[in-house]
Amino acid sequence: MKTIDCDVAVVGAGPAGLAAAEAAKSTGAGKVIIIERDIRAGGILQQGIHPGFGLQIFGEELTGPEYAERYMKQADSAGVELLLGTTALELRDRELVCAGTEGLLHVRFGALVLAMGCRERTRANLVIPGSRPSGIYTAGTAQKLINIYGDKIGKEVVILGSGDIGMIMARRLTLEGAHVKAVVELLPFLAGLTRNKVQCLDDFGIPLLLSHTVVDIEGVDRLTSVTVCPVDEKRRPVLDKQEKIPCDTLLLSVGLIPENELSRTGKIELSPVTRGAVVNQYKQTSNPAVFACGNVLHVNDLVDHVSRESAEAGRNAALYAAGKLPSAAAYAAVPGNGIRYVCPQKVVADGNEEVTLYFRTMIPGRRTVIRCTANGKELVSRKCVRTSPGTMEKLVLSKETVASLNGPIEVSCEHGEVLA
Amino acid sequence: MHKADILIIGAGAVGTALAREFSKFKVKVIVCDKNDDVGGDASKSCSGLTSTSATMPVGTLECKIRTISHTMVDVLCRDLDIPIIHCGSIAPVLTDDQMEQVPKLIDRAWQNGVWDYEFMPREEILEMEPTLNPEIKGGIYSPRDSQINQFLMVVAEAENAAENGVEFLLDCAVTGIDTKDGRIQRVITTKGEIEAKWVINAAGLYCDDIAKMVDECDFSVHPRKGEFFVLGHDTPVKVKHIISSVPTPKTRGVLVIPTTDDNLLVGPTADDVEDKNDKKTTREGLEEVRTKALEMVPGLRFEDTITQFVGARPARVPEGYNILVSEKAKGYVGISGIRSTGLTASMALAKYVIHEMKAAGLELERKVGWIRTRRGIVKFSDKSDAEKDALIASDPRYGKIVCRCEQITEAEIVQAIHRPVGARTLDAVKRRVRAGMGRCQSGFCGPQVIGIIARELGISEYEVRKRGVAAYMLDH
Amino acid sequence: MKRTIICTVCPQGCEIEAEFTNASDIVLKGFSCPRGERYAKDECLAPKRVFTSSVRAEAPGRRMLPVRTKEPIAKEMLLPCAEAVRQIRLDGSVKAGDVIRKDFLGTGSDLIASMTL
Repeated sequence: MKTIDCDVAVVGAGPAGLAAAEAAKSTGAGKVIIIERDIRAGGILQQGIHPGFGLQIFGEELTGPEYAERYMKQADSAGVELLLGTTALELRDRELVCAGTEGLLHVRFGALVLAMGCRERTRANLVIPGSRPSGIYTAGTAQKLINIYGDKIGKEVVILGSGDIGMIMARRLTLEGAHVKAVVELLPFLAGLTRNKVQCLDDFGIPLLLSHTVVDIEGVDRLTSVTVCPVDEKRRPVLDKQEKIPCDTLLLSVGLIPENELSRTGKIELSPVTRGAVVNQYKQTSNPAVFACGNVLHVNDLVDHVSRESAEAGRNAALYAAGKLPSAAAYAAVPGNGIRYVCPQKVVADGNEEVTLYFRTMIPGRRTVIRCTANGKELVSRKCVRTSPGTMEKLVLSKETVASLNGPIEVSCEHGEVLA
Repeated sequence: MHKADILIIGAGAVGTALAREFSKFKVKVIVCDKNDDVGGDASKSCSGLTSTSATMPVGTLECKIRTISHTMVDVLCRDLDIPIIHCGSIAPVLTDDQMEQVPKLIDRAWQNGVWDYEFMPREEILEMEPTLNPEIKGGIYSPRDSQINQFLMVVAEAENAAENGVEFLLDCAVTGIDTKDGRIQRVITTKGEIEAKWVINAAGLYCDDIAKMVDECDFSVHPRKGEFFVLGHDTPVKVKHIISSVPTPKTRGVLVIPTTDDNLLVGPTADDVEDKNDKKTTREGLEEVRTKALEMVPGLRFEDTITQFVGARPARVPEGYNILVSEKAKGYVGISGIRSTGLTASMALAKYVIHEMKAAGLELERKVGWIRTRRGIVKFSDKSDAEKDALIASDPRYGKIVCRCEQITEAEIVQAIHRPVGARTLDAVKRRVRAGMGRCQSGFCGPQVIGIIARELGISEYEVRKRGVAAYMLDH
Repeated sequence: MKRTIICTVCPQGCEIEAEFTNASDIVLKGFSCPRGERYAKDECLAPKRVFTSSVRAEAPGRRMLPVRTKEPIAKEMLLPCAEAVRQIRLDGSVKAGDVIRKDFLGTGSDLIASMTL
């Protein structure tokens, strides 16, 4: 059994972990270590080989691996140490227990950044009735099999859920010679980004069936068909309009859930809505030495947002480890009308710098006014051309506003036109 | 051409218990099964409950065998390292109608020799199991009902039998049985012919199909479908006891069961269907389970479900355990009517069947050096820091976590594949070591497990199956 | 000809109304940045996409190397490119940005590696 001491430990070498580690190092942390279970850094970006990453940060369209490599280089030149092939098993007080082929490893830290990412929701979470044949994959699993292992997974494909990975896989499978028969979405609007609908579905004439769901799955061994059915306004299937679609593959792109097993072992308080840690604007969790960022905190739409948020988490972790992170009274930031969640869930009224609140709307709309209020008084607001639950929105509270807080704040929205 | 003294058709709970029992003697035993793995159909997807005979029809063969068998469970678990929890069961009484049933149920339990089957008042029951509906009128407590890992039980018996010389032929479906001069001669299978002196039909749901091959079928079998939910470790409301509906003559109704893997198993329904291949969950069935379970345990959180599945209990018409040592086709032994009680009954049933066969002329001589015990695969995640470190030192593959949800290592998966009667499909790996049994349902580890199976078995990844004959994982 | 184009330059997804008969008389409404305007023009006349895929290449833990066209290519060339890329096999180490095929299938863009192996 080996023990390592470090100033800042980071769990996960995906986009969140790399940005956090680099920022921690740049902020002056002495020894910064990333624990990564894979044998390469990059996390999920390794399999996201499509373009569209980095427009906000680098001003160009990169693929996932290219985006990851830029951050890998930055982390490397900053002097971040990378422990690959190492899995964090358990979070104890100021200590992580990890396993690798060399044995058990105890990593003692001054501060810890959780950056484990997320996992995909499964068929079981949706309770889709039917049989349990092979040929049913989550979109991300299919992506890994095709893009990393070069496997063929099927010929006739139906995709349930209009999440981004599902749409991206619709294009990928089409280019690989499979026939994508339909993308089926329960909600009356798209779950992912509009650009993915245009480039992945419309470009190839793949039908998108909104307000539809899968009500039956058939196949004793391999999948043979799924039954698709429209839903009414209460999302109940209208069974007399069902249609059976023969297929050998069903992909599910029905949402992501932050991967917080490790956080639970450390008794970190989690939000029932985001299913990530409850944090303040420093991304500091209920354990003051533990920070969280990226998709393990809340599921982001763009990797650019992940990188920015994670850099903040890394910097604050470094400050905490050095005993320099300010503390002051913290107030709740809660979702109001039309808002599903706000992250961070707490704002520390220290007034050192501005605070960005990230959130998602419940339904899509046009000419939407989003605003943040305290005691009914507006702190900041913004008008958006369009908003959609698939896109994260943000509001920035100025330094002065933050310093003057003396109670909870609320984020709400009002649509000029509802698009659902 | 394979040759055996005894051929057992079916590697479910009954078939493997028989195999282990026979492995004590100097006979050549083959077990064949149409599935890719042991565990049969009913056995691997049942509730895993091993209970007393409190609710059994009085005086039947089933009641007798099961009562005796239940006393053997603990020793089996000790010898073969099978996970079991002695949690006891509670049947909460919710309605006046149910309350009226209570004295009759207790009387029947008494007649079946289950003298510790007791009614308890509301307060006492709620103190024992605070998650129950506070509106209950009381409950029946049955302290000796236990929860066993039903699948590992069959695997353990099969592994032990194999170590003692029994041969298992899997992916091997019986298509015909030849007789000559009123005696069994050979069995035709998809893996060739098997010459056998005795053929035991332990085919469960399919035992009528086999029985027809020797013209000994005066009954029929259809599936009694049971739909289940499995809830994950993290679900906030968990029960400490097996919670069961107040039993009816047909079934124990919906149960909420704490499993040996720290999940909650909720179900089953009991729907008689015709198609033996019907393993489909239904909207109505799942809704029925949910409603009935919530009546008993209102806090259950079905959002935390990690999977739903169907178990098919073989329902015989007419009902009842039936052990036939055939006169018409000498050497043929038919076992039918075992329904959902086979898991508990299998140990005594194996002894009973052999006893009947001896009466019909079977001679058995005890083997020297029979191996009584078997150890399970060492579970990395259960161990202390020092033990984990030592495990990795002994095999570095213990340091490679493959299934992140259940913290299952590559070493465990490799062992599952290479043990006697080893896993050859994803489902078989999952049942042995739980890789893919967690929240992500193999989304993360699936591709890696496909690779490990292909590597260890020396086959192409395109040949790797989820289960069964043709459930290929990749485009085949 | 009248068309509604959903801009994909950034996630905002502006809906741009285009009216045109030929390249010289395109009238665009609804874009909110010059990049969006250029995108909408291209969509009307000659839609272009960056092509991404992966090619066979052995490396620890993976069997594929991700590749892309350096520049966007004509949309109708996506499927022919996907077909051609399946024939490519690489061995040896590769750096992100290395040219795998010059002027891939005459699209005017090189096919480059998008990961270092």
